[in-house]
Amino acid sequence: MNTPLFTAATICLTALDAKEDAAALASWTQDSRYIPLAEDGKPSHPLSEFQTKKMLEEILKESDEKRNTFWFGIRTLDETELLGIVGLSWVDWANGSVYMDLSMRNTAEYSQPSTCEALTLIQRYVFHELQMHRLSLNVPEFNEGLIETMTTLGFAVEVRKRETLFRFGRRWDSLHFGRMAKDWEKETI
Amino acid sequence: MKTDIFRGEKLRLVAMNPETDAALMNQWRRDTEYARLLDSDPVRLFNVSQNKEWIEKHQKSDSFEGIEFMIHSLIDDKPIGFVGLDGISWHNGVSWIGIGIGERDYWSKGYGTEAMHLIARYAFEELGLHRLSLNVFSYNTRAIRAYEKVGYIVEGTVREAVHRDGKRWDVIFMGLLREDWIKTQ
Repeated sequence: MNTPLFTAATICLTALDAKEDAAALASWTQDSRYIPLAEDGKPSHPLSEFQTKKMLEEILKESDEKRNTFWFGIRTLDETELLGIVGLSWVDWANGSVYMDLSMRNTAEYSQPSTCEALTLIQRYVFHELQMHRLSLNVPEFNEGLIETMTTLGFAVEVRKRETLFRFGRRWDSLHFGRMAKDWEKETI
Repeated sequence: MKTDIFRGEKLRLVAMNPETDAALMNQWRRDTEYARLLDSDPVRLFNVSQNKEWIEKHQKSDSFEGIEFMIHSLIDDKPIGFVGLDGISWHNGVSWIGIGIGERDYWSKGYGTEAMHLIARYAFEELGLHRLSLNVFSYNTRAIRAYEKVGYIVEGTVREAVHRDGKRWDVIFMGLLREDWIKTQ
């Protein structure tokens, strides 16, 4: 009952702050290998601090107004460094289904304990705080680090959307990972 | 070159008319079976001016990220449903596709299959897209059969993602690549 929802061994989840986090997010996007938050259909490209601030303001405004999205910064325990952003971008209250977006600061970070710990906290939040039935995340085929981390955590590939993404000069599949509350409870509690 | 790609053997695709089609879409939505085949969101009722504004907003948009057509049966030029592309991603060459046949008298007569064929032809041969995606609820077996006839392949199943009448249903994801579609022609 009193297990901390937002603190793990090496990272914590905190609120996002458009003004303070814009610079970190902008710096991540300067590397062409950066994998953005969502497969929203727009080409990825370097963003200025002005653009990332606006982007963060928009997601926080939507979160306030609609009450069906939740966003967190993944930070070091001393909260000095932003390692990634994780969001529940669509909480489907009527069906008990949640879509998550995850973007770490660089591709190597997806294989680090930070990603694994953030996904562990998010599962607990989704299943035991929001009382949801299932959790989804779309992962591009080229994000091998995240695919390995999610497979280790017990997420299953439910859909392989063929040739949905064009990046790095070729087409890639998009993998829809799913995790059921009942499986998480069996393996965790 | 000489073919009118908006016309099939039994139907044609027509631009939506905000004045008349807004009321029609509302009337269809009161049919619960239809509404529950269309969307997993809780069914809501919109008034005619809300629907009209929705259509007008899409038609006024400068960025071409989607397009909606009304489906008219050729025999009586009656609007019987709609079909559309949304979330077109130009650099990926992909789009989502959605369809609804609101007039029950036209169910199970091949109208949906033909409309799906026409919109695929439009997407691949006019817009130059590479792939179309859709999802369908596991209880909508009639639609799944129609999509398979057009060449869509089941790419996976999102388990128990719809909760209705105390039961959980799967959401089936299907995809159609341009090369798959050409083979069916």
